[in-house]
Amino acid sequence: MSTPSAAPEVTAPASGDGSGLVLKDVYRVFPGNITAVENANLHVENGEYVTLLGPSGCGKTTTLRMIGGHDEPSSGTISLDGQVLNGVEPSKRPVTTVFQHFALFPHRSVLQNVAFGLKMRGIDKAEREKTAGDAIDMVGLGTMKQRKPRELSSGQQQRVALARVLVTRPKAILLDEPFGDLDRLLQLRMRVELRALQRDLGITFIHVTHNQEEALSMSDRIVVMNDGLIQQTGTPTELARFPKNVFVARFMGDNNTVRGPIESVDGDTITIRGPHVAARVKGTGTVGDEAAMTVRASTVEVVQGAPAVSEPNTALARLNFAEYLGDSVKLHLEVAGEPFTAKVAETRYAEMRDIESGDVTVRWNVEDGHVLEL
Amino acid sequence: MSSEDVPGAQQAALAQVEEIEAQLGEKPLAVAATSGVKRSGLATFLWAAPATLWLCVFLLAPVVMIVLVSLWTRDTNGFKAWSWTLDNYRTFWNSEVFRTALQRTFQRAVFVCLLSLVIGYPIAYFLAQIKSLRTQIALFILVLAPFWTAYLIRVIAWSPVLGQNGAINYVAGKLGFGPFDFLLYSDFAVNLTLVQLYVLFMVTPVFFQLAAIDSSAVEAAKDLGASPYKVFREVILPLSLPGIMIGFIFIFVLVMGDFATVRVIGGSTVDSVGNEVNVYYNNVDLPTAAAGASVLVVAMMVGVIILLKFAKIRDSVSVVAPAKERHRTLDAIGKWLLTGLLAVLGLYTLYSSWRTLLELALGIAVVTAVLAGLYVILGRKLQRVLGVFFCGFLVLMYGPTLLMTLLSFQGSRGLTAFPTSGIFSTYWYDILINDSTQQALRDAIVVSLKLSALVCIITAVLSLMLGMAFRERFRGSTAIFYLVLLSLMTPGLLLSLGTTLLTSYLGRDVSLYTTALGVQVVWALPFGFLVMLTVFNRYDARAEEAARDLGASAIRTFREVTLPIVWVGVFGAALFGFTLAWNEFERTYLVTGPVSTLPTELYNVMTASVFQPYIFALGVLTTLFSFVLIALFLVVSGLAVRRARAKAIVQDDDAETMSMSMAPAPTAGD
Repeated sequence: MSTPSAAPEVTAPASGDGSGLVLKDVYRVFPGNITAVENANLHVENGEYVTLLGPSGCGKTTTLRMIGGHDEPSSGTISLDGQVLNGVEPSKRPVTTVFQHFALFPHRSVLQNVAFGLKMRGIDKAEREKTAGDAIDMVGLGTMKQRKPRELSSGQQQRVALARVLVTRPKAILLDEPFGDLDRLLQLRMRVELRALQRDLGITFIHVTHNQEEALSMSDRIVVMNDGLIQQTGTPTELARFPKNVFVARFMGDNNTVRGPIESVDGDTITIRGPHVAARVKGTGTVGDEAAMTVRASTVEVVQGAPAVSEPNTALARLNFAEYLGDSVKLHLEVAGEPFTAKVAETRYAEMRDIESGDVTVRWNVEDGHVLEL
Repeated sequence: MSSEDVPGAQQAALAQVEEIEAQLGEKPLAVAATSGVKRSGLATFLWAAPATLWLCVFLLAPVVMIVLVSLWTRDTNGFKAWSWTLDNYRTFWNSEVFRTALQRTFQRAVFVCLLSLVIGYPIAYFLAQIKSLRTQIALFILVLAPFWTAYLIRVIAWSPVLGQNGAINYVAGKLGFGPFDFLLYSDFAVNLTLVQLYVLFMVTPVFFQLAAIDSSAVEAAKDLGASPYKVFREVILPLSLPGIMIGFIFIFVLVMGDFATVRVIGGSTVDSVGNEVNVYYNNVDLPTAAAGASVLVVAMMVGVIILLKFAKIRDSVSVVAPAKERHRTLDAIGKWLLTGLLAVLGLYTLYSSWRTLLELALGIAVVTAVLAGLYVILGRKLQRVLGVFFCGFLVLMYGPTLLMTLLSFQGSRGLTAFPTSGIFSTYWYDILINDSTQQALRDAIVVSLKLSALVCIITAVLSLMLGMAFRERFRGSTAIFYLVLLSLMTPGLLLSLGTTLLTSYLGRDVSLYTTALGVQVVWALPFGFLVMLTVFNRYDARAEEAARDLGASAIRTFREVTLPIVWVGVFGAALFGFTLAWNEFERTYLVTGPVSTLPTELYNVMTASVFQPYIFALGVLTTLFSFVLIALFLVVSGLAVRRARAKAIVQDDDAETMSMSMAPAPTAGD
């Protein structure tokens, strides 16, 4: 299988019929000239699971709040299935938010919490308790209808928060770091459950997180943000294999980036002289220009001993630490003082342990690297 | 590992997860971890014992004494111990005067409770909605500050407002009305003053409840379709209900026991239970006085029981064992029964005095009308409306004091009336400071200073020790906690009366540095204790663990680690001790012996003769003094906080610089 020489251009999904959630030229500027969200353009198809991913302060939560109606854009429009949502109150929007710390009503029972949205719509008690009861059963908490939130574990509380939202039959559900309060075991389990739930319901889910592993495992598409700007939008495989720029490459993890002036151009490849290694990669450019490329840790070969020849995509490295991950081994290396990562099969752990603190050669193929935007 | 393997890996992870979970079981959030060095029971006992003992001697014993003496026979020397009789109760039950006083006092208490709610809730709501923490704290202190001025001074300050020659009548006169002579020396005046004095007890708990409401819960409610009114009714009001209940209980009990305000403002035309008790006491009819006071004890006990069972205080204080959730139906029945009973009682008493009912209705109508009017005028912005209301509230709180300040600068022909006569002059200050007729007052000031200094030190020490004890739950911690709370709720009269009965029984005398000191510390201790609780709440006990780990003994750890961190709290407790003692009247009233503290001297002056503007001068000076102390505390604690924050920022910067130079890719699961 040949890998393309550059990341395929990622565009919005093909349907141009105005359906789905559309953010157009959205800005959010706070008093004091703080730009939290800049020029956000996004099209989410109905039924998609989209994750907004980025470090703290990148604007992902602000974006979510603007979609949910808890904040208004400074400029730009947000619309759902053709209906413009700007200026519409949260209660009137067909989207509902699951808050980070669940925001359950502490003085109400589980059943009353879940039935709340229906109560606000004026539905009578018998009917809303039946509907709420069904939703509670669906999330697996059927025996806990009368409990108060403080009598539930975090995982259970989250399911109540979900049920409460589902009952109002929104067109899209927004989740603000839903797994933040859960311990790791629970996080892993909830990923599977939440994704399954979304597939069953067929509703659009928009999920905010800073955890790239979570984003990769759950999403149809991921929107990576930093400093208020959308860096890249794409499927998990696209982001993992073809990050667009240095930030995305580093944020997704397990990438080695090389940045520096172009040393030479050779046919359809260029060689970039980074501070620690020379990297030859498919791409175009002029000698002397600044360029960057990345190569995934899992495609880097590692052999004992120093390199025989000095050539691009090869370097002498010092193995500092062999990290056993259970089903693979992550090698923390150092090339000319710069950190470098490689991933090898689990079976080579003993071998790697022996080499720790010693010298190895790292190398990769030209096709395994790809050029990054600056 | 390529991304195609992801689903497979997930399944494997899921299987593992389920297995482990089956073993662990899911734990409820409510399990709290305790950290810190494990303490022996003896150490906890030693920490808690002094304060507990003090409270038993100067709080429990006096109250118990009152109940006992009420059942003993009268004697020429006071009472005959252990000689039981019900005569005393018969006496005051047969006394029409007393029954009327009881009814009036009950009405008054209900009235003040309800009006305090109507005025206090919007204020608390306004404060809770303020976004900037700094502004919030500043305004909260502004609301609370009058509490630190002499209670009597605040009472006194009303007379130039309400009196026949007072400010209101002056304005009314100019407009062609009045003069209204029912303003001063009337039920109305008393009620108004009481609201001003006690509304703080409603604002504070409601404010804390409202501030604790998770704002995302409010957002979630909006998200789910709730209109602003529904949000209030379904989320905010139920969650602030415990605060309201706490406010009711405190205000009710304290107003039931108030006699000084009634006496000074109401003169001899308005009666109270406390006043009747004093009458019997002055006639050396101790057992009957005690019987009257027992009514207050009953009111107090009922208040405590309600607090215990229903006010959910236990849920917000982690060192107290959580209320057991069993018998939910029983609890609910009990709750409704009690509420119903109280409601019926309250309504009956209000009904039986149509005038009070009218005044109450008027008061509520005025407040509602003002709020509604403002709402329309200011364009339906709730926070703005409440802001204006808040300013009006500040006028109510500070107005009389400001007027008093104005009047204190009158010339020698000045009266305690309005308007001021003569030009700006410090004549009355001069009289106060130099004139021989005021020597008694000046002596009283010195006495107060000395006593307050002592109370200050003792309160600080006892609060610190009790705070240390309460860092973890221990056997009896709930009981002691409620004992401390009881001290807040006990009307001062019970303490002063009970203490004199106790000393009488023990054949000793009351004196400044025994009994007066004792009751004043009892009053200050809950405040100091609460400050220490707050400080220890934020305190990371692992610092102590680390110290012990590195070889420090228990004593050294305390001195080198604990104390430096919590000293701000100790300082706060000390300040509370001083200012509360300085202003204290009702508890100290009967137990100072032949000497007078400033407040007791003031009371004598107020009730004995027509007072003159030097009283205002005194009021201004003492208020200023209290404010200086509060400002001192704020400055010191502010400095401490700022220094700590600066340190933290430096540490943060260091950490950041370090992490930037390491591997950039964030690992999964952070």
